[in-house]
Parts: sequence; C-alpha cells; structure tokens
Amino acid sequence: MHRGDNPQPGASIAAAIRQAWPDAFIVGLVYNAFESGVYAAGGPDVCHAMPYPTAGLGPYLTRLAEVRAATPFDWFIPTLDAEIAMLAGASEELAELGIGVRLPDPAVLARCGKAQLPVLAEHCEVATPATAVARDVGEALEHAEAAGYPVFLKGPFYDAVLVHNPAGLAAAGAAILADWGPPLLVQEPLLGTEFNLMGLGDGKGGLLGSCALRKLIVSDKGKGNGSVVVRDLRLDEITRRVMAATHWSGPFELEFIRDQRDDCYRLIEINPRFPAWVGFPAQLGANFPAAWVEWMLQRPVRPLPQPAPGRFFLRHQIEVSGDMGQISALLDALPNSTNHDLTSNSISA
Amino acid sequence: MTGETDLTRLEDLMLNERGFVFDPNTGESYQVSGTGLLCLRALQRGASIDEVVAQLVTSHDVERITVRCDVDAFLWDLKQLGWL
Repeated sequence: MHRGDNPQPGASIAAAIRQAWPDAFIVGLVYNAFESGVYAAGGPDVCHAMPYPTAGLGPYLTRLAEVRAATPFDWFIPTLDAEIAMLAGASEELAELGIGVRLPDPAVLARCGKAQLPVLAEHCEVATPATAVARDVGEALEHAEAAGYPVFLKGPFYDAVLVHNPAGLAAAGAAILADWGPPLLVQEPLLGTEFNLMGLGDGKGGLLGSCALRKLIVSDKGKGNGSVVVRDLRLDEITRRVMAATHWSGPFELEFIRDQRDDCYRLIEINPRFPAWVGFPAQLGANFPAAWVEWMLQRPVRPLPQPAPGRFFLRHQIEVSGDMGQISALLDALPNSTNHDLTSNSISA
Repeated sequence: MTGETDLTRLEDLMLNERGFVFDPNTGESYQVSGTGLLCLRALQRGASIDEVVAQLVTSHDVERITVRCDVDAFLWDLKQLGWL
C-alpha cells in the first residue's frame, strides 16, 4: 500500500475498485505500518499486517486465515511479484480457506520470469536484450567479463543496478542475493526510450484491455514519475504474440526500451501484476482493477477502452495524515508467532 | 512490422493552433512554426507537395523557388522523423 518513493500498486487498485463500487469492503494487507496507502482518504476499510513472503507459504496462509476470520473477504488480489511467485500454485489452499483468487499458472509464470524471458521472447519473435543467468557472483563476474562492462545486474524480482567494473558488480550482486536470493541476471544496457504496457489477459490468448505509455520523467530508481499514453501498433502486435504464447490470465505489465540503434522495441521484463500506475487509466475510463473483479466474479466484461494518446500523468506526492493509535492497532494485530518488524523497509513493486 | 504503422503516422499526428505537435506513436512532442503547421495540416489533408507550395506562395507572398526549397527541407525533416 506504499505510495511514496518507489510506489506499489495496492493503494491505486483499492482506489480504482472504490471508484467502481463506492461501498465495496476492501481489506488492505501491508508489511509495514508506515505504508501511506493505509491512511489515504477512500483507502481500505481495514488493514492487516502480513508476514513477508520470505517467511514462506505456510505462515503467509496462516495469517491470511486469521485476517479473513477477523474481517471476512471473498477475493484476494496479490499485487507484488514476490507474493505472486509464492502463491502461484496455491489456489487450492486458498480456496480451502474460502479465499477466491486468480493466479497465473506456475509454469507460465516461470516462462515469463526474468531468467527465462529470452527464451519466451525468441519464441514470440520479440527482441530482448542479451541476458545471462548466474547462480552466484562468481558466475555473474564471468558473464560480465565476456559481455564487457557496463552491464545491468538484476535480481529475480526487483533491483536493477548498472555496474561498471568487477568491484561494483560484486558489491551489487551480494546485496541483491542477500535481499532476493538467486539467480542474478547480467544484461546488456540499452540506450533508448522506455515504454510500459499494462493489460488484462483473458487466459485464452486474448486481451480484455491494454494501455501503453511512454515514460516522460524517470526517477533515479528507473520509475516513471510521468508518462504519456501512446498508440503504436508494434506494441499491440508484440503483446498479442506474448498473450498467444502464454495464454496469460490476469493483469500484467510489459516493459520495453525502444532501442535508439534500430528503433526496435526490446522486451525488458514481464511483471505478473498491475503496475503502480494502474490508477491512471482508471481515471480515463479504463478501470482495469474493476474489470478484473468482474472477471473474477464471472460476470461479462466489456473490452476496456484504450485511453487516448496524449493523455499523461505526473506522479504527485502529498502528505497523508494518521495517528499513532492507527499504527498501534496494526502492531497489536500482528501475530506473535511471526513477530515481524512493521517499521522496517517494505517490499518494492 | 513497421510498414502499417508508418503509413498512418503523419495523419495520426495531433496538432494544435500554437504549433504543438504530439506523435502518438512515439510519445514525442515538437514545436513547429506557423508555416510548418500549415504544411503539416495540408499534408494531413492529402495535399500534394505542389499544392502545399502553391498555398504558401499565395499566403506568404514569397517566390515559388524559395518556398519550394524550404518545403523540401521541411519534408526531409519529416522523413527523418518517420512521418513520411
């Protein structure tokens, strides 16, 4: 629910659902009592603290059951990569808890992961940057030596660090491994403009809707703090191929760089979730979270309209106010068995 | 994969009265002069290069050969942007 620097999608998903159904009962799940979306006007009706996915599926499901017993809910929309990686394949366990969820098939999720992306891209005849997979820093050093510096060093879920020499790679690699574990990915850096495309896959190789953006303002963490809607048939065609190859079901985001060497789009990443900017198209009549809820409820979903090219967003930080009593309530609700530090750093989107 | 897009890029351009041009294909924006705006609008309507030149000669009271050189230079810029 974090919406400050390096924002997460949860708060925008809640707002979009609230936009469609003002009386919806929304339960927010947080890892950190200072996640700003907890305190935003029109945000979740109630919030609960969760153990980090690194605690494992068992503690996570135990806590979900406790949350559902305290504040009953029907459907669960995980919003972070690490959650989805952990929960994919656990739909039956969630169903036994009475929790409805639509998650990507584990095999499809693996095909779309960073480590296997070049294989999928080749299958779809989509360009992607040269990428080598390393199990540890030593292997990453070998790959970088072969490719030549600088290279991007990436983790399995988050973090992308441009490193210029072996010392920089060793330091960045150790940090990424400590945070996220293996593998490390060594990727050629590309010069060009960044584009993102959000969509909803219908699970049959088709789309319920999509929206493509060009980043206008990029933060020092590579996040789009301002973007404009674009319409390029080449992006639509690439997306069509990825959908046809994966039969993706649910929200996703494709990240591209339009390579200035040849003006071709290169697929950088596939994120198996709504992006942090999901609230922007909702303001333009393309409410992806609401469509996804309709889809989960097995109601007929009309294809979402594509927002008009030229509409843009700028990320605008404001102060939300809270009371220490609210933080205390979140801390009190934390199960003793998990004993997580609610004030520590949260997971990034 | 590029042909279909390129054919429609000129007509897809979004223009306003102040010469602001937005290319919905790339997300890039540009500023053009009043003369450039007149050229772009005429081309979007399907005017030929000779018709564009004739229109500028009439509206700006400049010799045809001068206008033709300037229009050719402008068209070269448009080609570099992939709009023609």
